[in-house]
Amino acid sequence: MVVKTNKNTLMKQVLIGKIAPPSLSSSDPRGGYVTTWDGRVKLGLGPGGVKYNVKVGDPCLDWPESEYLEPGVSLMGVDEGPSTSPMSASGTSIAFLKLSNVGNLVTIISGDAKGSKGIITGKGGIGATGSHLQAWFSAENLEKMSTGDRAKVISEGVGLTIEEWDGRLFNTSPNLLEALKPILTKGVLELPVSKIIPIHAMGIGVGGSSAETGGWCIQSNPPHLVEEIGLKDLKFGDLVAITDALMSYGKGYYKGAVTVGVITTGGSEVAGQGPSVMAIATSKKGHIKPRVDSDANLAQILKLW
Amino acid sequence: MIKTNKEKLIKMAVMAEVNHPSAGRDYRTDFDGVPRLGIGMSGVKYNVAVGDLTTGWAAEEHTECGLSIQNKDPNESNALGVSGCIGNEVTIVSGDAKGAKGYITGKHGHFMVWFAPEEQEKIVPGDRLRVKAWGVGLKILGFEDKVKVNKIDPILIEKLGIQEKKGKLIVPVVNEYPCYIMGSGYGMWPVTIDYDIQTTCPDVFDEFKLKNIRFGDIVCLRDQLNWYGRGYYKGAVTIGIVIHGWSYHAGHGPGVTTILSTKDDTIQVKLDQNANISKYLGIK
Repeated sequence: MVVKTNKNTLMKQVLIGKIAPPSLSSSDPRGGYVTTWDGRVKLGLGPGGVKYNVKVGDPCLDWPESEYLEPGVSLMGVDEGPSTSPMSASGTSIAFLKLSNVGNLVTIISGDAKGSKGIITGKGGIGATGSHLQAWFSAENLEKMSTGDRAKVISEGVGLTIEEWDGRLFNTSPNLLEALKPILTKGVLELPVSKIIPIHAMGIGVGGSSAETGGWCIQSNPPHLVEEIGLKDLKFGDLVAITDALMSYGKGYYKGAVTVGVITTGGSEVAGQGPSVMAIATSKKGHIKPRVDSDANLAQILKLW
Repeated sequence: MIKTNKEKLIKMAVMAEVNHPSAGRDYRTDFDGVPRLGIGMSGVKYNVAVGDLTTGWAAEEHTECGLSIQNKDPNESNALGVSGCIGNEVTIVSGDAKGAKGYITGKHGHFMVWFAPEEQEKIVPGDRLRVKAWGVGLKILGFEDKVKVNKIDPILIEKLGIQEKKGKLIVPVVNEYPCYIMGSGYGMWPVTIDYDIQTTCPDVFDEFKLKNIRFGDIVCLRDQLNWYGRGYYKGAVTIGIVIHGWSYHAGHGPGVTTILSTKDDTIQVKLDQNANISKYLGIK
């Protein structure tokens, strides 16, 4: 059965942000190194900025010196105070994050790229990425962008529900949900995913706040875990299902629950860390049936090319 | 008995003060969408001590046993956080309880400290304490490369009943837990933060005897490596101490400060219902 939603009742409104500057992943304000799971050090670049050659659909692991690499253009709210922490987001910046949804239209409204249109593809989770959205723009438009350029997001999707289904949806615009071609059978929602991730592979982000802000990471180390769960070919924008994971009102282990989310950031070599999963759907009672499909990636689903 | 490099370790005074309970202006939402008022973090608790059960208190949330201490200067707080170890001696240096001695029993955001009940009656938030910080760099001789030691006082580690047998360390623990039950604090730095045994899913309360967990229990975490960070490693064994109480927020529960970790079977465990630091410190 094709799903019925409440999409005609959803508020549609404008949010203002800007292109986020690049920042390093280390929490040391003096720019210290990141320590890897096996005691090496690395720089940890990847959060923020405009990436010319890293986009949704590309592999998300093994970029040199990277930690939490974000594809495309990183956006953040505009009410940042004088705080020196790149992780701070308050007031309207939180609203910019919480109310944005994957599939929402974003338009650059200042600078050389004024008028460029793109699509929101995800939200970060750990460190500086926790205050970022990611957006896809065409390669031609990327060339004209500078960090600090203003962007407007047309927010639509908060409160989206599916009739006769007892799970919860997050971060999902009505057009993304439609493009996923979900099928509801006897109260169970079938969604396409590229991989099914077991709960023991999940790391930092557990215990974190609402699914609308902050992700839950798949651990991309040690190498034997990457091998075991077949993570090597994971891509930015992949849809994944996590078994025994509940993200209704926070993030935690819950036997029998299923969560489906989008891979929004790159891998990590820090113990217990890795690509961030932004939830789009969760069911405490396991009323999600993941259908494995190697094309279950936002680049394909939203035709980002 | 194990031998350590304790005589090589710097022992120093680090200052702290007893803190005050704090609260938000609204309810917080539990894992199932229920609004809750949670108390138990910070301050001086007269009737919750190390050795007690970590659940069963009304409106409990991350209950810290005994009293909680911190240093409000950010740099001094970092030094306290890194150098303080479970089992370190603390002395009250101001107020009516001046001169009273107790022990650190855990490291959450704050440190938790035990004092004898008659001393605790005299202690108020704001009283200053001196921590005799000792334990950073601790190693077990003969196991320097295989076992990493963290956040434990050099005298307390000798009292945990650890036996050395044919190249293995046998550690008495109350219970053991699989990696996937570990929650908030995962992926973070073992030196300054605990991580939680999740009490989110009621279906597994009995399976893992979660309602029996006590403050101060020594526990074993399977497939968990706490060396340069904290994460999954197949076959790894981590030993920790339970330091705070239950939670109703998704992914949270009794916190564990990790004290020993190995990549292989160098650490083996022996189940012992009395493996609790309240016994080892001579408190109960």
